[in-house]
Amino acid sequence: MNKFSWYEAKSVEDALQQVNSTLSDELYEATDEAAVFKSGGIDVFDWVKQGILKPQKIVNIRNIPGLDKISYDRKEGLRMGSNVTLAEIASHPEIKTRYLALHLAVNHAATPQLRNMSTLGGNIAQRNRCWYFRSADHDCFRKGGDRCFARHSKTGENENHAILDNGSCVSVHASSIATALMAFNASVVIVNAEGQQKTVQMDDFFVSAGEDIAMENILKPKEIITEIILPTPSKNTKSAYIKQVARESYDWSLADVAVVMEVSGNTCKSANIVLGAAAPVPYRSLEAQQAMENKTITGENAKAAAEAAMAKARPLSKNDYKVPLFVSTIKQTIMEIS
Amino acid sequence: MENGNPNKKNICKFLRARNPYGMMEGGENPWLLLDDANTICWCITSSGGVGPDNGLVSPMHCVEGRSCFASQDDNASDGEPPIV
Amino acid sequence: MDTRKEKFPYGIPGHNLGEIEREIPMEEPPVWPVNDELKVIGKRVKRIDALEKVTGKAIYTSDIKLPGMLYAKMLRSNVPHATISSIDVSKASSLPGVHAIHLIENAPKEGGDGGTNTYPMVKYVGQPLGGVAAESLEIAKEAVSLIKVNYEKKPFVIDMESAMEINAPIVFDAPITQQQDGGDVGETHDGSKGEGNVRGPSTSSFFGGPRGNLEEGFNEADVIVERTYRTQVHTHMPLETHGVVVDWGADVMTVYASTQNTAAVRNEMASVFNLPKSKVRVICEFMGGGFGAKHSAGSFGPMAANLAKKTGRPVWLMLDRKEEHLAEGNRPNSIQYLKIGAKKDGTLTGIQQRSHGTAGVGLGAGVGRIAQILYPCPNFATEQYDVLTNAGPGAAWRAPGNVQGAFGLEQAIDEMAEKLDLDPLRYRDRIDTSEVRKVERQRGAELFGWSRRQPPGSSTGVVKKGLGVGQSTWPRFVTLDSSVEIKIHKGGGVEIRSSVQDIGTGTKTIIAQVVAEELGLQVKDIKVNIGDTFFPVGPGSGGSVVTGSITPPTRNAAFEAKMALLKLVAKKWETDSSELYVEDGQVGHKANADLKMSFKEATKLMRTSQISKIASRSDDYGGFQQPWGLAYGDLGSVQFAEVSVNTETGFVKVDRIVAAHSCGRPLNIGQLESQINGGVIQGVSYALYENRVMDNGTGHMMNANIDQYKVPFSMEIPEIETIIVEEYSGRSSTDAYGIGEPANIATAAAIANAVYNAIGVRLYEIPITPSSILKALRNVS
Repeated sequence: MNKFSWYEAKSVEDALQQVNSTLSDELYEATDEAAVFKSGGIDVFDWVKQGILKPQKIVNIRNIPGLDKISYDRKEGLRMGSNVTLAEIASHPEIKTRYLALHLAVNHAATPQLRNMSTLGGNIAQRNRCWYFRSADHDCFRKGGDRCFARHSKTGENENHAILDNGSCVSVHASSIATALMAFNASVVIVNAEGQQKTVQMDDFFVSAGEDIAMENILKPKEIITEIILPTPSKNTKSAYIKQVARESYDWSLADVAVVMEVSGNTCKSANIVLGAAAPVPYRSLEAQQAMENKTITGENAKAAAEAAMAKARPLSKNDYKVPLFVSTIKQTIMEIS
Repeated sequence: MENGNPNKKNICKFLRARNPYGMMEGGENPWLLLDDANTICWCITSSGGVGPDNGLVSPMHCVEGRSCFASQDDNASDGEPPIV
Repeated sequence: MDTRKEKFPYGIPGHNLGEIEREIPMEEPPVWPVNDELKVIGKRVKRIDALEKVTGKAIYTSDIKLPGMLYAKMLRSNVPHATISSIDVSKASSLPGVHAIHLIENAPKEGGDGGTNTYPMVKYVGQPLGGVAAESLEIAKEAVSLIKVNYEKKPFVIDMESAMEINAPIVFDAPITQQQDGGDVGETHDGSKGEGNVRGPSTSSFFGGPRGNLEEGFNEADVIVERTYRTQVHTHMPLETHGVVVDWGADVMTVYASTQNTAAVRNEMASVFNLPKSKVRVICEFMGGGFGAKHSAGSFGPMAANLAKKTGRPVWLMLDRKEEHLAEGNRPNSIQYLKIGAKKDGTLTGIQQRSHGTAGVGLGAGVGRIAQILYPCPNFATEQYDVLTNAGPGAAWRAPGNVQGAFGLEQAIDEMAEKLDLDPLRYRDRIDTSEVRKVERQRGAELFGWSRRQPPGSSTGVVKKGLGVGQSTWPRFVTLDSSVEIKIHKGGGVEIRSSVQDIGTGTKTIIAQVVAEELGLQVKDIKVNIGDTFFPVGPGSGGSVVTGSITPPTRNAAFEAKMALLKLVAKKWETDSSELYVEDGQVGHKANADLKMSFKEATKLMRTSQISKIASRSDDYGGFQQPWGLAYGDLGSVQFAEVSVNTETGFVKVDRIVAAHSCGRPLNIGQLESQINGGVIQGVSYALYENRVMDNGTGHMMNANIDQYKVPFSMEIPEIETIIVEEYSGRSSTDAYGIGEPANIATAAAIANAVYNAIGVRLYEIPITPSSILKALRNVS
């Protein structure tokens, strides 16, 4: 870890004046005088401790007033400030009753200690999981390097890696909470240095590796997430979430699935089916959604949807097990709704 | 190794070995060469499994004739410390 | 002959307990009866340092803070194979707060195999190259990052099977000469001799060499099982990392070390720095785990001392988790070929074993002797090969070799039982001659509910349940160079001193128990001062030798001190000391109930302010099986595993383990259970989770942390029930042995057998993962 100065941001405007770069930009091509945000500090400091990110200044946005509120009303939906901690989401009663999949995803994220520290904004903006990407000794595409170590058919250690949309990069997005948020059609509120505010659908917030290898989202320098908004679910909305991990106590997802469904009796009217740890960004399976539309929720239909979701899977040398794992998990998650 | 009768050998005094049953220091009577397939060796002058001459550390190699060999009889107080 | 004859309890209570007469030296204390008749021994005595540990008051090595102390960080290689052309420390040395930089250099010698300078040749990523001492750890780390090492890179090989190929890059330039190098001499894997990375085979050990004739053995067999098993590289992961604080004073070098062998660290530091052993003092009061990797001063010990020498200040040097994974030891992997033959009635006719394993740049990757000794078999041969690779060196790891060996053998025996149409437990009854394992199988099967076991693969549903069993053996080894001093202070107070360290298993507590039992006192009355080489030498905490090595001299010293004290009381009461006894803090007279005196009162009769007695480990009563401290008998164990396997997702959960163990006379039931729990948890971890992932393309370990190197946490830990079988053999004044290694040997095999029972497909490789389960079930190609 290098030495850096610390700036305690007092407001969003103040914070945006202080930074000049992003974690993504710095990892891709480091600058000399980088000043970057830190919210919960979980991901940023991992990079700093590895000696991969060497900021001159850390701008702490964790204590900016007003970004730590959760509110729900039928008209506005669920609004969560970017500094809300995962622990606060996990224990929020309204979220548990109305947004079960989100509740479950948050409760299965990291550990209680980490959930106390980590914030919602930081969680969805964290960088991807790939041990080559996160190694100081492996200069991969995402860090401005000239190769993908994980993809190598003989030497790539890719058992945890992506099976979908993995043409440019095989890392997986690390936020299992984003899986659930996307299934609830969440949108992200972003403010820039000029004070302009924009609201984007979470589907559009994430950027595929093919579009931009350097980052997984649209955030630019001098932009900040202030809020995440989830629309009000109808009374016929049901949701479910399952995360598969090698180690139940605490682990990164090997496969996680969020399903948010409009039902009529035991029939699916429409479905949002999102897969985590399948691709470099949270992956909405249009195939699975389509397969469930206007179908009764049966094991057979759920399996057909799960298999449809995997039709485009392109496993690497060591992760073909993820295909049956996803098939089983998608099927199970859909069946939780019935 | 004869069964039940480990070879008496003059092994470099800087060799250390650890097997399931105990520690061995180099010298005249390294009785712990009881199970060489399960004995881990290291050299204390180079602090590792690679010797000061960049060669393999092993009870069979760390004997008289090797450039870095030191006999048990080498008077400790005479010599220079092995790490400079 | 100054000996006497005594009758000792012999056998297993509730099974075959009897007596045996032994001729023992006159000075040995009288026989102890079985545990039921003792007051402190064999009971659930709370750890004497429990409060200090759970409240954080216990001072571990990394907690040591000394006036003027500097913090050090090691410089390590980040390429797997290279010569070093130069090292530029200029930026680092000018960093404010840096006090010294020490680079590892070897004295130039003729006949070395390369390099134009004295820097060591780099053979693996993480190899120590130097160190920096600075005013804070942060400064030291930054300074290390500013050192520029210029490498001339060389071809390297990481993967063991690639290293065995003819044209593989050679790890050590000097060819491995088979004729000189193997303990026994043979050919490399492909029949070629001389050059390569394969060394061996080793075909014999102190348990003997090949037996009988394998070909005849297999000809006699009606059934053959022939399989290849694979195990992974497993790093140690003690909670407390390796490290020292070195305080090199004018007269004495004091080394605070996280070590399982204070005496060995003292000897190493004395040798390296040319000091008399009397001028090096190694202290380890509390220990945060070692598992076999902490028997040495390592590279960090001499590095801290060199930095202390250069700066004239104490130096703190503890490693971080990444350094632990890369350079401080691991359990080597294995590829084991095993062929066993049996007659229709199950009688074993032949066992053939051939193994390859890599301990990186070091040796010792064998698979132990479990196939050789667990079951009698007239025809046996093993060939164990080391394969050198450009990876961090192995180290002893809780039952070295045997854990790998048991994984193979106990699955093969399971498979043989099935081919013979026998229940695996009944089959072991037939071929296992160990009396203690027979009792463990009986008691374990009952507690476990073995009768619930269904035929393999017959469990229905997505999640399938399975039951399995595995057995193990471990020799009873004793370190004879084990001594203890007892001091009884005038006016009360009993103190024990030895250099033996408490690795965390409760050695301090059992020493106090033994003394309390002998002196008729309570455990809290005994102060145990150990882990200091200024005290009489004790054994290293390895090989499960500590209890069997240190408790007999502890008792003998206490007995001698007691007799000295009783002589003083006898003189006062005008009787013979043989008429006196101590019990419940009182000295009494066997024939005259009126004569009573408190222990404290008795100590006031002392002429000097203390009675001090030192005792060393006696030879075993009746002698040793082998003269170097290999005792008769074994530490047998049987473990039962119950697992659930999700056949859709491939996840395996170990639901329950029943672990039946023996360790002679058990001293402290609670501590034994804790130690068995620890062994089982590590076994679960070995079977399902831990795995060093190396990138063969770059030579780096990809999961050198706790996040991606997976050890089990609370939810992965099964319900564990232990059965401790008392077994008396009358071999020493305590007749007690350790449990450290046995607790870890059979678990992975039992789990693998249970997985087979659940899904009806056998896995020959660990760790067992969703990927391997789904492959076995042919859900993926």
